[in-house]
Amino acid sequence: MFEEVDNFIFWLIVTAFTMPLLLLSVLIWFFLSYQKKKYQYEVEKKDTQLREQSFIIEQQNVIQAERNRIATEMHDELGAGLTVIKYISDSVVYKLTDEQVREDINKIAQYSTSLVRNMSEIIWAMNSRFDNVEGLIGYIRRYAAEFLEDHHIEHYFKADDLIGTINISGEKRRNIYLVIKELLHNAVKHSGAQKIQIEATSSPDLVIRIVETGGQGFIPENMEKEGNGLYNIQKRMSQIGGKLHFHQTPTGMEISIMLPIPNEDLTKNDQIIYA
Amino acid sequence: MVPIETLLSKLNLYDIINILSFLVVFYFYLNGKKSLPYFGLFLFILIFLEVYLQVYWSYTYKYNIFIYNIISKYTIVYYTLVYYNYFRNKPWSGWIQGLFFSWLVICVFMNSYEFDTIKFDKLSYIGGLIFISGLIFMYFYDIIYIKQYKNIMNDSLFYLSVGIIIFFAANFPILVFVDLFITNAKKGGPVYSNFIQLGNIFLSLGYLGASLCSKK
Repeated sequence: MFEEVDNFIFWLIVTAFTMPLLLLSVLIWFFLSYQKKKYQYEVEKKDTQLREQSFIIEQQNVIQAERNRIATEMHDELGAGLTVIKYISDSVVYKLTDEQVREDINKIAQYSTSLVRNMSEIIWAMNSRFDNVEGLIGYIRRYAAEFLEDHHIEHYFKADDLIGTINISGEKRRNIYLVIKELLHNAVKHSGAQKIQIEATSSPDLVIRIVETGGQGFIPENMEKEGNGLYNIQKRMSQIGGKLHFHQTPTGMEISIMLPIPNEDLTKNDQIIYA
Repeated sequence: MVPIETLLSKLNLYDIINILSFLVVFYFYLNGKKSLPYFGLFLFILIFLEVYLQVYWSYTYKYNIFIYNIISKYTIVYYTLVYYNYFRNKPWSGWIQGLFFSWLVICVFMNSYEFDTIKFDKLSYIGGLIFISGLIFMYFYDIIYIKQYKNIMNDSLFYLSVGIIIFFAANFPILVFVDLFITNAKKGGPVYSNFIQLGNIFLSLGYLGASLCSKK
């Protein structure tokens, strides 16, 4: 009797251990199938992401090509046309005797010059070839030098080395350029600065500092009440996600323009790794 | 009343895991998160039956098989509710209802025909567990072949399914030959008890996993 029970318990234990093993096989089947499905899902997901990204890149390329085409056509057609108007006006002025007509023709020449300059700014903003901070800083530097020399103001320009490797859209370039243009105009017209220093750094945000020395400076709150200039530049900066900071110093004025640079806008070798 | 010392001395590891699971479900419930349908209530009644009533019955009447008969059927009913809830939109979900009511009829028949408070109603329980195992395999099949990929690590039902299937596999032979074990308690008792304990621990871990996957 006891032998029979012992024998039975032995087989019972064998069965009891076999059942979990069978179950384990089922669970292994389930997990392997599940892992396979998970892998397929991840491959499909990556494939979809890649297709979406390539579609976006294609779209961006099409837009850039269109921007470049418009910029080229504006430069070739409108620019050339406006230049011709300016030269014809200049040459006609000398042939005219009527003072009133001469004045009007001179105005046409001046407007044409101004239009050529404005259009050149638009073309520069549209052309994707200049979609980097280096292009922006170069353009600002050239403008500031011409403008401040015309007004006999001492000026310095300084930019750090990393600047050349940052990408920036045409919209941001144009807005920053127009903000700096307005600030330099204000410095010449209102503050009476004797020396202007422009510094551009990128660590990690793009910061352009304009330091005016020898002028009277201004209180931003008072300026806001007087005109639209300050309101417009602040609006431009907020449109592109940037900030403007004014600080009155004993020797003049210090204005900082700050623009955050997303990590993807840095070129591969210069991406900032945050710990 | 059962003295608290007796209750505590009879407390098993799986009972502690069940209490922990209930507390987790209750905590998540207070934070607006839900796990399986009526899971908190299920655990509360289960803990009451396993921790108090079976000890009380044993203490008062010197046997507790009757309470285990109730627990076994109670768990099958709850598992059916959970899987029916999962499959309710399937065209064949009516089969779950049909099979469940058939099982219920068998239970009533078995208990009317051979009602005995000191005998474990193993046939109804084994029948119920085979039925639930079928539903679990359907659930696995659904995840692998029918549904779109989803992360099962956040799925309460996955943990419950694994817990049940391990419990069933570990205890199936014991449940089949339970009478023999009881009659030869001296020889088979420890093995019987250890396997039941081990299976219950896996089942309770399944409950704990399910309770930790509560979502808003």
